[in-house]
Amino acid sequence: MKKFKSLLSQLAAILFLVLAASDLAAQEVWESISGFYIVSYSSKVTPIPINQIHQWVLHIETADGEPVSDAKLDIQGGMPLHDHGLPTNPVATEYLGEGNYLIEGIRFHMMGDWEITLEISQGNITETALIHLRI
Amino acid sequence: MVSTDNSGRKRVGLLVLFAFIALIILLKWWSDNRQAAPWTAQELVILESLWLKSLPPLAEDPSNLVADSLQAAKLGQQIFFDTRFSANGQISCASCHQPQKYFTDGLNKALAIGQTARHTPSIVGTAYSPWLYWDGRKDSQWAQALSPMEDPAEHGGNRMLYARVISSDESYRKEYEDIFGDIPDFSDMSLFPINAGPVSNAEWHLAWQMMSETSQDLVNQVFTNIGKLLAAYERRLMPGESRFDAYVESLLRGDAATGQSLLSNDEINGLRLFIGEARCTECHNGPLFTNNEFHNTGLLPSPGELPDQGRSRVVQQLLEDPFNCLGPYSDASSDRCTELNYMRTEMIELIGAMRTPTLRNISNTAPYMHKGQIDNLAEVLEHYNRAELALIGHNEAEPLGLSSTQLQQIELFLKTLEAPLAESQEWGQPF
Ligand code: HEC
Ligand code: HEC
Ligand SMILES: [Cu+2]
Repeated sequence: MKKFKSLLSQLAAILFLVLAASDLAAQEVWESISGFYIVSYSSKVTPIPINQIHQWVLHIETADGEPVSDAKLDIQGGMPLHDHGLPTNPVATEYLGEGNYLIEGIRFHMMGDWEITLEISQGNITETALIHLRI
Repeated sequence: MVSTDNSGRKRVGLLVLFAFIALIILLKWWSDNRQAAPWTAQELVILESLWLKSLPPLAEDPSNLVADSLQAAKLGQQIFFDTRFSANGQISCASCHQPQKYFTDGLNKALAIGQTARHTPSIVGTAYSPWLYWDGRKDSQWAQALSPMEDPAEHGGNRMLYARVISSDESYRKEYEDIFGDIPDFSDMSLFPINAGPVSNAEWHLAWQMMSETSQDLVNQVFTNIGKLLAAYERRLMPGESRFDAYVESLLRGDAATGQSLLSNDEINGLRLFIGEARCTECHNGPLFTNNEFHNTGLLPSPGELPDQGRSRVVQQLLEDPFNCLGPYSDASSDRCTELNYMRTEMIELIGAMRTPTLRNISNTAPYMHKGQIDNLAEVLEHYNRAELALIGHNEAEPLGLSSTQLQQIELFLKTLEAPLAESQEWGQPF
C-alpha cells in the first residue's frame, strides 16, 4: 500500500514537471503583417502585474529563424475595446544579442485585453507586428 | 341579479389586481434580497486583487535617501503639524490634511491664507503613486511637499524662512544634523535675508535673485530636506483593513458563511456591479482602488470657471522641474527615474484628465472630485450613470444604464471601505 502511494506521488510529480515544461515551451509568437519577422516577448515580472512599471525582452527573428540584430523599434499600444493607449512611453533601450531587445518603461493600468503595436525598421524597410495579451 | 353579478366581477378584478401588485412587490423584494450568487473564479481573482493584503511592499524611493528612516519620519511628522512653517504662523499641512478627516478638509476648495484652485485630496496611500496632485504635476512626495509651503494661498512663506526655522530651533537643528549632517550657517543677513524665495511676493523674489547661486543652493538643500522629512512621514500613512477586506479574506479561506455575515446582500450586489457591469475597476483597481493614472471623466467645471486642462497642461512643466527625480536635489541616479524617463507625452488623451483617486474611506472624505464639484456619493454615481460628453477632451466613461436600486447598492458597497488608518495611534495624530 505504501509503495503504491509513493509510486502515485512520483507519477504526479512527473506529470507536473511535464506540464510545467510544456507550458514554458508553448511561448506565443507573432508574425509581422507581411510575414517577414517572427516576434515573441517575455516579461521580467510574471505574471504581468497591473500598475507596475517593468521591463520586457523582445525577441525578433526572420521567418527562417535568423535572429535580427540591427532593428529599430517603435512601441505603441493600448486597449482596442476601450479605445485608449498605453499609460507610458516604452522604449527599446538595449540590444542584448541573439535577436533580443530590452524594452523599458512598460506598464498596464487596467485588466483586460491589450495590444502592442511594434514597428520594426531595418534600413528603410518598416514592418508592423501586433502582439495581443490579456492582463 | 345583474348588479350583484357585476359587483362580483369587480371584486374578482380587484383581487387579481391586488394579487398582481403583491407579486410585483414580492418579485422586487426577492430580486433585491435573494442570497447573493456565489462568485465565479474570475470574479474571485478580481476580488483578491482589490484586497488590502494584496498590496505589495512599498518600493524604496531612490530619490529620497531618508524615505524609510524612522527618525526622519518622526521629524517629518512634527513638521507636518507645525504652524511655524507658514507666513502667518497659523498654517500647517494638517490645516488642510486633517487626520480626523482621513487627511482631507471637508471643503470644496481648501481655505488657508487664501483659497486653493482645487479640492484637497487625502494623502493616505499616495506613497504608491508615481505622480502627486490631481494632475500629477510632481513625481515624488518630497517634491510635492515643497509646493504648498510657498503657495501664497496655502502656507504662504518662503524657503529661506523655513530653512531658518530648522536652523534656529535647537531641537529641530539637532535632529536635522543627526540625519543630514551639518546645517549651513544662515546667520549672516547680508548673504541670507530674512525672507527670500522664487515666489509671487515681489520683495521676497527680488531678495532671492540678489542672493549668490551658492547661497541659493545651500537654502535649496535644506528646503529639499524638509520635503524629504515630510515624505518620510507621509510614506507611513496607509489605509487599515476594512469590512470589505475581511469579507474577501473569508472568501479566500473558503468560509462563505462568515462572508455572508460580514456584508449584506445589497453590499455584495453593489460589489458585483462595481467590479462588473459598472466598470469601476477599469480605473479604481488594485488594493488602493486606484491605478494612479490620468483619465477624463467628463466632469463639469465649478460654476463660473473654465474647464481644467488637467494632465495635458503639466507634462512639459514636470520635465523642467528642478525638483524632479532627474534634478540636482534628487538622490536617484537618472536610470532609477523610470516613470519620468518613460512618461507619456502624447496629449490627446490627457486633455482634462485627472489622476484616479483612492476609494478607501471614500464615505469619510466628501465632497468629491478635483474641484469638490460633487457633494455626495449618490450624485457621484449618477454622474457615472449619465456619463455625459466632456466639455474638453473625451470622457472615457460611458453611460451605464443602471437602475436607482443598483446605484444605491454600489453606494452601500463603497461604505464597506471605511476603516481607521493602519497604525493610526502612531502616525494619525500630532507628534
Ligand atoms: C491650504 C490647504 C493645504 C495645505 C496647507 C496643504 N495642502 Fe496638500 N493639498 C491641498 C490641495 C488643494 C491639494 C490638491 C491640489 C492640486 O491637485 O492641484 C493638495 C495635494 C496634496 C498632495 C497630493 C495628494 C494626491 O493624491 O495627489 C499631498 C501628498 C499633499 N497635498 C501634502 C501636503 C503637505 C506635505 C503639506 C504641508 C507641507 C500640504 N499638503 C499642505 C491642500 C493643502
Ligand atoms: C475611466 C476611469 C474611471 C472609471 C471607469 C471610474 N472612475 Fe471614478 N474616478 C476616476 C477619476 C479620474 C476620478 C477623479 C476625477 C476628477 O476629479 O476629475 C474619479 C473620482 C471618483 C470618485 C471621487 C473620489 C474623490 O476622492 O473625490 C468616486 C467616489 C469614484 N470615482 C467612484 C467611481 C465608481 C463607483 C465608479 C464605477 C461606477 C467609477 N468611479 C468609475 C476614474 C474613473
Ligand atoms: Cu482600458
